[in-house]
Amino acid sequence: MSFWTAALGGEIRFIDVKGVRTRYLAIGHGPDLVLLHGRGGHLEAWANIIPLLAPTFRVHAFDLGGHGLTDPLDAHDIEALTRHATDVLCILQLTRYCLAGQSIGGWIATRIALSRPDAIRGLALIEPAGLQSDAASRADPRFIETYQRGGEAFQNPTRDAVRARLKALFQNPEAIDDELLETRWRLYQPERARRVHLAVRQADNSAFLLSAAELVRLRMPVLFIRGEHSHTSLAVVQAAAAACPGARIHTLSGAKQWPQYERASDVQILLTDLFTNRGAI
Amino acid sequence: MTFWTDCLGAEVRYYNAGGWRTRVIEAGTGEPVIMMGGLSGHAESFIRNIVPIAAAGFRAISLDTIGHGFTDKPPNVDYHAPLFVEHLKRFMDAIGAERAHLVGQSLGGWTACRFALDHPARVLSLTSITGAGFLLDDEESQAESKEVHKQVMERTKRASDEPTIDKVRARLEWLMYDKSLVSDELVETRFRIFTLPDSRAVMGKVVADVAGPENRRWLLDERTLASINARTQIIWSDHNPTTSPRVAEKVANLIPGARYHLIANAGHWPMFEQADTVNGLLVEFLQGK
Repeated sequence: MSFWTAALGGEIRFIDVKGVRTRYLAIGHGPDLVLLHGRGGHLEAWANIIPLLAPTFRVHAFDLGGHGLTDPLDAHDIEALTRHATDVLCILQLTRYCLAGQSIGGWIATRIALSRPDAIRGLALIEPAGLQSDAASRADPRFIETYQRGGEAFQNPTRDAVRARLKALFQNPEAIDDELLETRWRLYQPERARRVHLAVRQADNSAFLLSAAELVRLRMPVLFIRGEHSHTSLAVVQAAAAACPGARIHTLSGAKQWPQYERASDVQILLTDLFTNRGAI
Repeated sequence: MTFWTDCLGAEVRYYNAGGWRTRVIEAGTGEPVIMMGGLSGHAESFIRNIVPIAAAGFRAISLDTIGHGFTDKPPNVDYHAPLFVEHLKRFMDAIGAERAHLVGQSLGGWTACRFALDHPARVLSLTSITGAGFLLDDEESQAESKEVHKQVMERTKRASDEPTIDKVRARLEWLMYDKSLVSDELVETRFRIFTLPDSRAVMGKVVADVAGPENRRWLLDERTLASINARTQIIWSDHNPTTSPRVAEKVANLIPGARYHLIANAGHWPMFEQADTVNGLLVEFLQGK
């Protein structure tokens, strides 16, 4: 399998989203499923799972504002990223869809689900951000390490720095293939990638944190997917899941922040079950 | 490094070419440069050329021709030269391209030449890379042409009749001078295409029609070649497994003003095996230098 064969039969387009040139991939047939990648990411973060989902779903993945090959936005806080993602979904004319997000993609997915609850059939949150403040996250040294590696990869995007960044996301470094490394290395080279990343980091997102008072409004089926070795504590995820009326938690061994890549087939089974067997579709 | 990184920034999209759903890989803006591959080929054969040509200021488009790749494969048509010309014309109409540069490899080269003869006003330039379809007057070339058609038919049938990974790999290794370039990714891409339901249903006919005797009436003989009035270049390779460089060089001499380039260390896909060299030649030629 390669990224190319993963996407074979699908489309890769650049679409105009209110003036923001946005890279977008679509593949497969079935109910619509939207995938939102994480901070510093790009749609290739889903490369391993896309071919597993395509037989069951019409899979839509795109680069978030300023990420990957999508143009930068005016601002890169959660509100701006959510607005851009919502605009993409409007332009794609998706009215009812399943939604999965990883890291800040999970945060954005939850924001979308809160603002358009009727559109969302089900919500999968893979290692989601936004459940606690940055200050609380920093209490964990593993978060600090991931955070620093990410900063170094953007500041001076050598192949070694990009590899070190990915290593901080993976439980098994051997799961980092050359194609992922090469792709991310290329995407990190432009000066604008550095600027966006800095803006994403410096954004004050405290107003957009996901509170229990908000999570209680999520009426669709919700699944939290954790990596066993994640830097987000189980207690934080448990508190969030307890707040959602219909939420479950699934923890995957052999994974850290990128279970959708390291444990793609397990995550595919979880998503398919969530979206097809729990009344979402 | 891989197909994905080779064409990072390009689009994969589908057009309605006058009723035929047509897949392309494309990038860039500017004058269209339409690339077409060979019999049983697909848009990925130009995967190393799309982004470099786009970067030089063109709209670079690699096409799955009718009956090929992920493009429609109607069962009730004759896969002869005029059909490929008609598909190209409908595609150009669909993208609103009154004129385009044509770059055709193998069967695609044949189509490009035929298109240039039928629609000269719509061709900005013509490049044939290890192109098919040439028929010179001398006996040696006539015999070579028949032998090439027979070989291509046999080898393609072997890979496409009951496709397996091994058979597809063998057909690709026949194309390539450096067999190590036949990557798992290339084999898987082609295998997946060959095993699509419509490929299984129609490829036998495509191969039989293209390489069969009836299509030979559309071969480009010496008088026809002399009447091509497009700006033309012929790019060949020293290890081409089909038509010999001897024939190609003579073809270039017959087409008024045509350039001829022989690429070293390449088989049937010089644009893939020696991508940098061929990209350099293409860009220089397309820019009118």
